Amino acid sequence: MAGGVTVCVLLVSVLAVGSSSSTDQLLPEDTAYEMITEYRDNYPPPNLPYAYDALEPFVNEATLKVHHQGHHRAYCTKMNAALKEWRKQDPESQLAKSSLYDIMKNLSGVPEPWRTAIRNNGGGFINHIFYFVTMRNKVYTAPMGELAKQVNATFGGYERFMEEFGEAARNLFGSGYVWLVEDEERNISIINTANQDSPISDGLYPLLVLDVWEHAYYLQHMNRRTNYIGKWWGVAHWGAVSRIQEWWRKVRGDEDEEDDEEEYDWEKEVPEEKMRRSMIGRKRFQRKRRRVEVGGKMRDKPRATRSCNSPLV
Amino acid sequence: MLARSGSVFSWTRRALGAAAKTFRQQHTLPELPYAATALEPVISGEIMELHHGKHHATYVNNLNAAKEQLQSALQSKDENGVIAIQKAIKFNGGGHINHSIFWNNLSPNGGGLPIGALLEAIERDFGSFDIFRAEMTAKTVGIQGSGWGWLGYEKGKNRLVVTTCPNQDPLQPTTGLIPLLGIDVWEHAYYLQYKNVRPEYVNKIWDVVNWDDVAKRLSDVQ
Repeated sequence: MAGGVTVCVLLVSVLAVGSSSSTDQLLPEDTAYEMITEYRDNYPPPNLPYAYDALEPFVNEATLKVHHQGHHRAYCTKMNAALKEWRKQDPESQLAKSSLYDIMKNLSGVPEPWRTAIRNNGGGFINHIFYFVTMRNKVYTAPMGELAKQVNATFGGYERFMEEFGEAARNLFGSGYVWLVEDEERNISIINTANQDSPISDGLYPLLVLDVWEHAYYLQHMNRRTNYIGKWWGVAHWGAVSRIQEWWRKVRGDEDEEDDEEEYDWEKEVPEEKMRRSMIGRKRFQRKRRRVEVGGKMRDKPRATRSCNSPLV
Repeated sequence: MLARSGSVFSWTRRALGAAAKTFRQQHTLPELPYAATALEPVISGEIMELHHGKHHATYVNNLNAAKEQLQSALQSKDENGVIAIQKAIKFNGGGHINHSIFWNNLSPNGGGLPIGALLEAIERDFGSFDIFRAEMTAKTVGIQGSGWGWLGYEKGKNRLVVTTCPNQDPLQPTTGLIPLLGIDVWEHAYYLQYKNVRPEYVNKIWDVVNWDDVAKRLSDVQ
C-alpha cells in the first residue's frame, strides 16, 4: 500500500503552483459545472468527459446513454424554457438576470409558477453535471491530500466514510441523491436530498454525489441498489472532487494563500495492481450487506432475500 | 401439583396467544391474479416479475420487520423507538397497500370504457371519460420523482377526485380519499420497457385497467 502511494506521488507531473494549473490538460467537459456561476441566456447540455462505454463494467453503456441523453437533456431543455419564460414575463427581476447558481441559492425569490419548474429542472441539470463529472474509470479512487485528511478527521477513515455514505444511499426512500458537501467553515458532511433538490439551495457546496433515482441503476442492476452502490465506488473520481472543492472555495472567496500541496495528475491511468485498495473497500462493502448473524456466526443471507433490506427474513 | 398444572395451563395459553398474535401480524405477499406475462405488451413479464416478486415482496418483509420492532418498542415503553419506526411503517406499509390494490386494478381483459354507475359518476364529476382520462394522465405523468396517481372517492361529498401522492404514501391515511384506481409511476414500474418515456407508459396502461375492480371498489363504499 505504501509502495502504491509512493508510486502515485512519483507519477506527479511537474505543474505550476496555483489552482488553475491542472485545468490546462482538462477537457471543458471536466469542468462543466463552472458555467452555473455565469449568466447564460441558454445553458448548453454538457457532454460527458468520457465515452458512454468508458465506465464499464461499473456503470454500463446503456444506462449512461439514457441517463445523459434522455434525462439530463430533458432537465436542461425544461430549465432553459422556464428561465426564458420567467425572464420574459418578469423583466424587472434582478434575480432572473443572475447566474443559475444565484437563482438556485435563492429559490424562495423565484415567483411561481417558475419556482417549481426551476427547482426541479435546474436542480436536475446541476445535480447530474456533478454526478457525471465525479465518475471516471481506471483512476485512483480514494481521496488524496487535504480531502483525505478531512475524511479521516470527520469519518475516521475512508472505509468508514464508504460505509456511512453507502448506508445513506441504501436507506434513501424514493428518489434523491446522497452528497458529500462542504460548508462555509470547511466542514464536510454526508447529506441526502429528495427528488432534484440541490445542496446549493441549503447554502452548502456539493463535492461528491451519488444519484439513487431508479433510472440511475435500473437497467443494469434492477432492484439491487446495493449492487449499484458497491460498483459505483469503483468509479468515484476523487480527483474531480478535489478539483471541485478548490473551485467552490474560489467561488466563495475562501482560497488558501499559498498552495504548497502536491499537484496530482488525477486523470493519469492507474495500473490494475494499484487499484487494489479501492477494490478491497468495494468488495468489503458488498459482502457486508449479504451477511447476517445467525447463531453467533456470520452467514450469507439466503439468495432470495439478499435484495431486501430486512436484516432477518 | 394443582398449582403446577395450573401454571402450565396458563403458560401454554400465553404462549399460544403470543404465537397467534405474531402470526396475525405477519403480512404476506398476495399472489398476482394473472400470469406475469399476461399484461404484455403494455407491461412486460420481466417488469411484473421484478415489481411483484422483488419490490412488493421487499415492502412486505420490511413491513413485518418494522412492526416487530414497533411491538417491542411498545412493550418496553420506548417512546423514542415507537416514533422512530413510524417512517419505515409508512414507507413499507404504504408500499404494501398500494401494490395490493394495483395488481387488482389491472387485468389482461381490461381496457375499454367503464360502464354503469362508475361511468355515470365519472361523467358527473369530470364532464366526460376523455376529460377524466386526460386529467389523470397529466397529473400522473407530472409527478416529480416517485409516486402514484390516484382516482379516489371523497365520501363526505360523494364525488370522484383525481390526485397524486409522493413516494409510497397511501391515499386514504394521507388524503382521506378512498382509493379506486392507482397508477404506479415509480421508475421501477416501467423503466426496463419504456426507459425515460413515462408518458408512453401512462398512456398505454389504460389498455389494461380492470374497470370491474374499480367499479366494485366504488360500490363497496357507497
